[in-house]
Amino acid sequence: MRVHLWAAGVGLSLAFLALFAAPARADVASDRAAAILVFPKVVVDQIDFIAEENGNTDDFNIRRDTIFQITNTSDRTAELQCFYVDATSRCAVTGTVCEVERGLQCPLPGELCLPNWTETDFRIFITPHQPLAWNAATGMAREDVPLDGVAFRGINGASNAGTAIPPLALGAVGQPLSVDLNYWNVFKGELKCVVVEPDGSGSARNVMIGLATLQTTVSFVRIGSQPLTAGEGGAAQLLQGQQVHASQYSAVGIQAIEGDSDGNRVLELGGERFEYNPCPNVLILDHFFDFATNPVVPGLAGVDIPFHRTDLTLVPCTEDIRAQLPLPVTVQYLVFNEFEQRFSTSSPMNCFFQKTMSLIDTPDPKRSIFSAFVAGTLTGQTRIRGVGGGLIGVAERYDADVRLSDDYYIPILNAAVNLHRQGDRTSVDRITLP
Amino acid sequence: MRRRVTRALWLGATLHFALAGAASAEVSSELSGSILVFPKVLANGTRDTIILISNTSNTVVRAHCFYVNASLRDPEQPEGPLNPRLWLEVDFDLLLTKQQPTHWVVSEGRLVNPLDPPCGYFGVCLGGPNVGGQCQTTIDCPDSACSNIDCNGAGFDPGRIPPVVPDFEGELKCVEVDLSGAPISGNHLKGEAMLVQESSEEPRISDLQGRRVVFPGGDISQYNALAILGTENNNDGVLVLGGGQCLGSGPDRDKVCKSDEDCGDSGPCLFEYNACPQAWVVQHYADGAPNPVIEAVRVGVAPPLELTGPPSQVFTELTFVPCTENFETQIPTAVTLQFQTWDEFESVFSVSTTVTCWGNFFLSDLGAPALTFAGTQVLDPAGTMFMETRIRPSNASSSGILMMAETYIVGKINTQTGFPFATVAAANLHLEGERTQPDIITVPADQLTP
Repeated sequence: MRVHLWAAGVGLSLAFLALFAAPARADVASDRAAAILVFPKVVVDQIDFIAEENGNTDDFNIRRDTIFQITNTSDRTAELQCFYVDATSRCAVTGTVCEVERGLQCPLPGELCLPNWTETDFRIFITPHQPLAWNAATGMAREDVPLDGVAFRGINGASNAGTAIPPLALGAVGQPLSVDLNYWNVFKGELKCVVVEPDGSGSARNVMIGLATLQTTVSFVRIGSQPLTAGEGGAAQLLQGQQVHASQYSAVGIQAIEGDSDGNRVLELGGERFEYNPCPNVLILDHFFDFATNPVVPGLAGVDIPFHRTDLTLVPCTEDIRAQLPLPVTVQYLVFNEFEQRFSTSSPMNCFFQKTMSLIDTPDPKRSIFSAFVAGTLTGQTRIRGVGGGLIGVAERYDADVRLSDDYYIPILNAAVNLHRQGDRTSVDRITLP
Repeated sequence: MRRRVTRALWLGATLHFALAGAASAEVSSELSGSILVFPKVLANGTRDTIILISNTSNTVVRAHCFYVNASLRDPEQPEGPLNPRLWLEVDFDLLLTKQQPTHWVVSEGRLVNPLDPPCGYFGVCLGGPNVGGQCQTTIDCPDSACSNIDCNGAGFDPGRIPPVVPDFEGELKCVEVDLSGAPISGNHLKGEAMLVQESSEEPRISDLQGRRVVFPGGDISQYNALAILGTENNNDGVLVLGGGQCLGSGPDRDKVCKSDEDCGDSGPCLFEYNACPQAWVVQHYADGAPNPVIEAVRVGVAPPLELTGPPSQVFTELTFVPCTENFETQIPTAVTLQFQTWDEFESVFSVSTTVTCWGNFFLSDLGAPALTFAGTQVLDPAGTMFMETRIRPSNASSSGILMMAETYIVGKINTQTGFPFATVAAANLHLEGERTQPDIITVPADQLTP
């Protein structure tokens, strides 16, 4: 009798587990290998202009680019289908790049600045344990892959044959600057890579990790300068200068449970099909409020820094890449300062969101709940939740910038960080592949 | 009969929760946890660190924190048997109200001062013709900066936080405790660390792997604290990561365990905190490799000019702390690390090293030419630039590791200073698996009373 009762207890527990235990839990995380990689922030800025000062003519080149590093952590070749999503707004008539809130207006009077959501896809074949890297502006041509399958193959004969990463299609900025501009090209958007099976359906293999470096290089050459003698560490033949600034974030990985098991190329994040893990319910960011002095370097001067800021980039979990229809999402923000005082606001989002935080709730950043002037403390905690869809994001803090116009800037002294997450969404998000 | 039924159901429930509790194990850089680890904390006169911690719950949360000073006995000399790391610990407490964020600069600490003024609508010009005047941006302060540093202490002070000693390098660890001081597995803490390059009057020339470079004052890099999630807790000072302690009475009570079988009659095994990862995966450049974006820079259009001088370079610095730490005996833990590296051509090679208490070094310091760009050029003049390295503690090591990485990028020569500029960026790394052996953090019992 005693044995029967003990067995009944065990059996009851096992039955309970069988009824209510979900399949093995997967994650949306930036610190684990996954089947879908999302790089929410991809930026390219290429600016070349001539400036004259004190009788000298200097040619300046400012280059902001995104360097991607992805790695296959498994012992088998992985095939990825990747998508660049171009969210750079364009002028309706001239087609030049515009960004009204940052002062990039359209050149023609009355010309509308239209939001954009254009997708470009490409394939990557990445061999076992292979790291691959490229920068967004130049991509990686077929002949530039490390293991081309002709001259070079991996240990078991695998290769990168079939890989071709296009350079980003940059848009020209039409607005003239007060300087002699040679060119100014811009891109902003996201990159998404999905591990796929040979038939193109989403794979359940959680094998990919990714890292993005947002790098800004400010260089100048004095035109007409004479060759110089060698300086310490090597020869520099021109009167030149260069500053480099960089920040890094890890790609957000969406782990698969069973992958696109029905092969319909609609990847369900969450829900009862157990294809991929649900998107997080809430994103959390600890940050310095805008206009908050960096307490380590409060006297940072000599650099044109109207204010310290944090830029927030969000992309939706749900994306219909097949029909290229952006899904509107309402973003809710709860902001806590160090007095535990709470503020809130919301903003609409259509396919891509990138904004200085103090411009989210007001055009006057000094009066924003994200500014230290209003919040009353230097740091805060912001909780971000999507209504109508899940969100993935990164944040980047700047303590200085290179200012090209009243509103348009290139950040320097910057640091990017992945957002924290809390809970899982109960609603399903879907990525629809072409 | 009734007692037998009850016992059977209790046994079944225990089995259920034991199985369910063992299913997930997590150290995360994105979730709130019960133990926060900041592997890299510096306040050495060149760089300082700002710590940001938040309570992500709607209840008051208390934490017991440790600075672990891992400076070398003689900072001027290299690390060695005669110059070990100090491993000196200083502890303090934090109290955070619901959803409260807080911050402090480690070189300054933070005082408890309810009279700290909140940030107002204006800052103050630090210099120039408008010195002392009101401002909101630097534009309001010609030749100077607009600062609201006076409200740095605004907010509910979380407790008296001591400043670290000069030349500090080490880690910060915070354990969530209840109001009685006992460790709990609330999973309510998250944190970030911002490493800041201090500014100076003259360009600060530093040595970086054999190159003299200039770091701009105010350069920042930021990483998320590693959070160790908790499940249950017996509220004592023995914090078991990847295991628990026997909960029942009997000879094996409080014994470290991985399952109920380990406890025998002293079961069940109360699972405390999730396990440290089995391995870490780092994506990096071969040390000293050129940066492709910098090398592609061409200034002007007629003709485009290539900057001259030595090529740019990229270096990766890794920081390690052991998962097992005994703050009672203050004996530092030594961990032997195995590095396995693949390059873009699937070539694989390995190296190992030992870290005691705290490790911070560049990949090229491991003495393996294959990890350097120059070393890869021996076989192929073109070299290989990108690599993946998997790092794990050796099977014989008694501890796992927690780590983060910083990438240093050196640009082209700046003829105004004679040196190239450099920048640094931090990133959290990727984790794999979970350790099969438990790690233990031992906190002295007298530190856990309020």
